[in-house]
Amino acid sequence: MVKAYLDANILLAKAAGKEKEPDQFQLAENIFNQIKNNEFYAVISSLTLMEVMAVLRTQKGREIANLKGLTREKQVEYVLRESKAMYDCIVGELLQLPYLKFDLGGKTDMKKLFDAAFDIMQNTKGKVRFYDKCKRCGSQNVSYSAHKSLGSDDIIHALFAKDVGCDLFLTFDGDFNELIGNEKIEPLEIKVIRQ
Amino acid sequence: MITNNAKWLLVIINSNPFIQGNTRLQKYGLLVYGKEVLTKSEFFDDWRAGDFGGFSKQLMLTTDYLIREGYAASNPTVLSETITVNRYKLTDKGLSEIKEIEANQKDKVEKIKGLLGPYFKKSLDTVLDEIYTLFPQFTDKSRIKAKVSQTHTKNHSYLSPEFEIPIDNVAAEEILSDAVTAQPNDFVFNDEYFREKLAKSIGLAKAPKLDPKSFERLSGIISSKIKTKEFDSVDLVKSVRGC
Repeated sequence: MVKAYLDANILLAKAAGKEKEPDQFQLAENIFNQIKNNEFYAVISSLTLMEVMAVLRTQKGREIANLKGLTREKQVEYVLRESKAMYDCIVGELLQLPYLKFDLGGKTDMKKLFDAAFDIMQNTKGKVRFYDKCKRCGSQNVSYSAHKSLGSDDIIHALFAKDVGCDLFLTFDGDFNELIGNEKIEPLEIKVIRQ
Repeated sequence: MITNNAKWLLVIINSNPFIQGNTRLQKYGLLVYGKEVLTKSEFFDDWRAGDFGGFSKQLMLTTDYLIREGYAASNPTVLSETITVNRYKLTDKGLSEIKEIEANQKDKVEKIKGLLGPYFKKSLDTVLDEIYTLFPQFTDKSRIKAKVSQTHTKNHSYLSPEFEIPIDNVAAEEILSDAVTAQPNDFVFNDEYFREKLAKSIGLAKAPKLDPKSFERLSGIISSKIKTKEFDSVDLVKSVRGC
């Protein structure tokens, strides 16, 4: 059976739901339906769960309206408590999903993995993109450019997926396209899911 | 003249510099079969749960035949005082037999090499761990399931000769006599350790049972808790990855 590594963005889109994540929710739903129908089984790593936790903290840290009136200590307390509540909900359900394996990569040779990641990173090119509005606040009177490419964590995820014997790496993140056909990643197949 | 199945078995043997042991050869065959690199008509399809996981009698008999007819060589290799295993390699006759298949079905041959090549440097316990994880349906009758499960959580990678199918069956009985049958549970992927840890981290006494309804429950489970207007999962993950 095909073994598919799920990127954190897929988990989060599914948990966020249609209302909050209209762009990616249905795609995540389709992937989980495939898992449910036993078309493949999913792998979730501890690294992915760490990212889920970090994302939820980041998300809570952006709730300016709820944080403003609190002391600094209480702000941190709020972010940790609220994000933990969300994280617990997600993990509680993940633990009950059939056809899902939690993989810690106990036999992964980290030295080799980082060595390969280093080689890949040196050869990635990425793209320069131009923006005319702020992605975060939506302000239109902004113009900036940025170099976008794979991050070290992205590469480590893919190499880890390969090392634990996954056939597929599923993600919504288009930057992973840069890894398709990379000889250090193959035979792992990178699949960027798009609408 | 040999059958197509036998030719593909030769290709499998040739995917590594050599293949050490019957267990490893059987598992490589199961991988090629299970990953559907070859169609059912091209390869052995009599896989069943055996003492050491997935097992094909046809593959075993064909291996014997290929050795008898000089397509492959089997060199006994001593692993320990009581365990000697066969090391399989193609002979010149075997190599010339697969020339045609290598030329005409290059994609499949490359796929097999790509699939099996990385296993050459992996220890047998790692191979077993991965195969048991990939094909849990063939582990029901395994007499070494508990040991494979144990090795899963160990962070080591040296050769474990006790998992080889010994040439001497008496030795096999001795080895297996102290094997403990694993307690059956819901979790077929040998990930109990992390499940327990996760369960405790969210305040549960133990890992919950599997429940297909969780597929529905997970949809939008944190929606009401997200107070910001937007939640872009790709962007958020990128931000914590520092991209």
